[in-house]
Amino acid sequence: MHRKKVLLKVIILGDSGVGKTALMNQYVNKRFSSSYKATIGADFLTKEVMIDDKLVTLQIWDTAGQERFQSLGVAFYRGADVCILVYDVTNPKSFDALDSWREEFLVQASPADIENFPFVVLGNKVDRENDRRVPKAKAQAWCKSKASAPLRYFETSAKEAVQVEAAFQEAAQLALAQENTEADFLPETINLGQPTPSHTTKSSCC
Amino acid sequence: MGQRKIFALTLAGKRVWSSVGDEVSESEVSSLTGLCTAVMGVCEQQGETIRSVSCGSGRIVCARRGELVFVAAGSSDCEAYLARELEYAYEAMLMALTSRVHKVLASSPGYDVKELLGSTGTVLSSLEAWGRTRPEPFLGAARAARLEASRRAQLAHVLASARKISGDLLVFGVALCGDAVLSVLQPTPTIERRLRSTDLLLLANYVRSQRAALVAAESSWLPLCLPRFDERGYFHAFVAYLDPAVDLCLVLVAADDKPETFATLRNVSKAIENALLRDGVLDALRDAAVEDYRAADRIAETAKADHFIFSRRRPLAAQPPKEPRAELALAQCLSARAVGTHHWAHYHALALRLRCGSAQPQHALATDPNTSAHDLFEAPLAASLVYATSNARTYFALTAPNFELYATFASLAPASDLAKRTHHILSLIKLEEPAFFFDPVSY
Ligand SMILES: Nc1nc2c(ncn2[C@@H]2O[C@H](COP(=O)(O)OP(=O)(O)OP(=O)(O)O)[C@@H](O)[C@H]2O)c(=O)[nH]1
Ligand SMILES: [Mg+2]
Repeated sequence: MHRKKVLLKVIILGDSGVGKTALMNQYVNKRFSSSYKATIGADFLTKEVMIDDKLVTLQIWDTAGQERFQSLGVAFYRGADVCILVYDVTNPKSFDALDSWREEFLVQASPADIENFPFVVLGNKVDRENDRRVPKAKAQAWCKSKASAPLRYFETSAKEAVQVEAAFQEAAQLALAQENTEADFLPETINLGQPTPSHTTKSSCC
Repeated sequence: MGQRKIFALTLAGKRVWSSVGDEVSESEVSSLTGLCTAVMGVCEQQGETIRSVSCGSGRIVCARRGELVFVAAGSSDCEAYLARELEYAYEAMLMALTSRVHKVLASSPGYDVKELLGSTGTVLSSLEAWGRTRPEPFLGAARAARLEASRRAQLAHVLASARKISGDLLVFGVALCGDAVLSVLQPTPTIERRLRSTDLLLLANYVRSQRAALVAAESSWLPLCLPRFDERGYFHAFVAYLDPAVDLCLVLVAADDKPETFATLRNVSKAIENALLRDGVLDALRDAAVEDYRAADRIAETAKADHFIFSRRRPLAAQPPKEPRAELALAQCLSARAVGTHHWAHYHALALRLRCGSAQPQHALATDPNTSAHDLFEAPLAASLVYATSNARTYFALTAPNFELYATFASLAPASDLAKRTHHILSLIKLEEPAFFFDPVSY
């Protein structure tokens, strides 16, 4: 069954400074700033895109990488349709952190089908190829190890708009294509013999 | 932010339904839903619950119900009013989906309930439109259709025998005239289990909003939840328009959806129709439909009121041995035809003052800037009374344990005169009480 979803919720996760905000801004506003301003809590932008002749709205959540700014909690992970994991190719620590970001997400978002929940992995800042410290092959191996089908992997530059459009488009596509594997809504007929739920008796007289 | 808008969202921030319909694009709504997700996330983190957010002249009221979030955004409405609108929207949704919707969302938070809701979205829209202009949601009472007492008794008798013909399959029977209730068949109410006026008014709204489809189908068989009765499961309702010209509609409710039950209820419906035809009740019902607001308008005119709405929980002319306990009775209301909508905001303000007043009368008096000592006083009855004046009109509210009355008078009359006119309205209602209201048939 292919369900019509008009709003797709995209969550971007990764260590502080890897370029999550820069990627979102490049994708939505086609802008890049080289100054760094830590994201506090979380922020979101909305963008409409065409996917397979269908107009969908992406609600893109940019989150705080710095732990002390994660004031919003994880409530907004709920019901995400796709998760974008970002690391910085010049920073191995940010790559090592991907595992825990992914796990945290799966715990908090508790998607119906954990095995097949769509992730897109981005190695950002490839414009600084000379400073690269995470080889492409290593990242690809990691992506392969995480699920039966390897996670999609892109090498991006928010600064020079390399592969940014393609990465988000892929994320949107995956979100949309995700099949509705959840339990169907089965109507249940009332059971008049069943005791009344207590809240009903408490609520007001009408 | 202009006109009030209502949204039902999942906890994930996805729109399930909105009063603005689909003409507002998903991306416009996304900013509001995103904001709500964020604000509620912060609050949850702190172990708090958010009830409302003020921004400039606007106000956003939120209510979380299980896996759903209801949000009302409006500029001119008070929090209590918006909160109640949300409650109705939630219950109308339960009527279509039952509380099972929470289970589905809990196991898959991204579930697209919008799809599930399908065409029943129109039920919510119709309810929302009602909220503005109709007394039912305001008073929490179903509107009773006027019918001569002897005819009403005949109808009650027919419904009671319908229960017998159905072999006890019939749980509820509701005869509607438009969206007003002619009579109700119900199990003997108990504190734990009883038909609530909210369920009845939601049912009337449901039937009204689906009218075109129901008339076209001649008879329909629908799963329907009565949320206040029991939000966990569906009843199955056989709905038939006996006379679409005057919106005469029969709703026969059973607790199962077996094909035999449907067949039985169809026969019961036919039997009811025949009995009504034979006894001439159907003709009387047709007249009732035409009569509609007229009798209430006459009362307003006689008592020199611009408008009034009245709801009753127990008969005004109390019959002690028969009188049901107030909380077990079905609230029913009566309304004069409204000219304009100015009085609603005033009625709401009065209702709010009555509510605050019963808890802390001094406080309400001291902090409400629109209240001066002269327009707030206590009735010398076991009732509460408030009134306010504005634009050469006086708005008046009187609530007692068994009734509520809200009225608009086109003058700045002294308090004693208002009390007299209010009593006049009450006595006129009392005179015609058996015609205005119905006694549910209990088995
Ligand atoms: N050279 C280069 N610099 C980048 C790129 N993307 C981001 N930056 C820079 O890296 C710094 C951090 O980028 P942000 O997008 O703010 O990082 P973030 O992941 O949002 O960080 P937090 O909000 O703290 O989680 C900024 O100074 C950006 O200008 C890129 O593709 N190439
Ligand atoms: Mg950031």
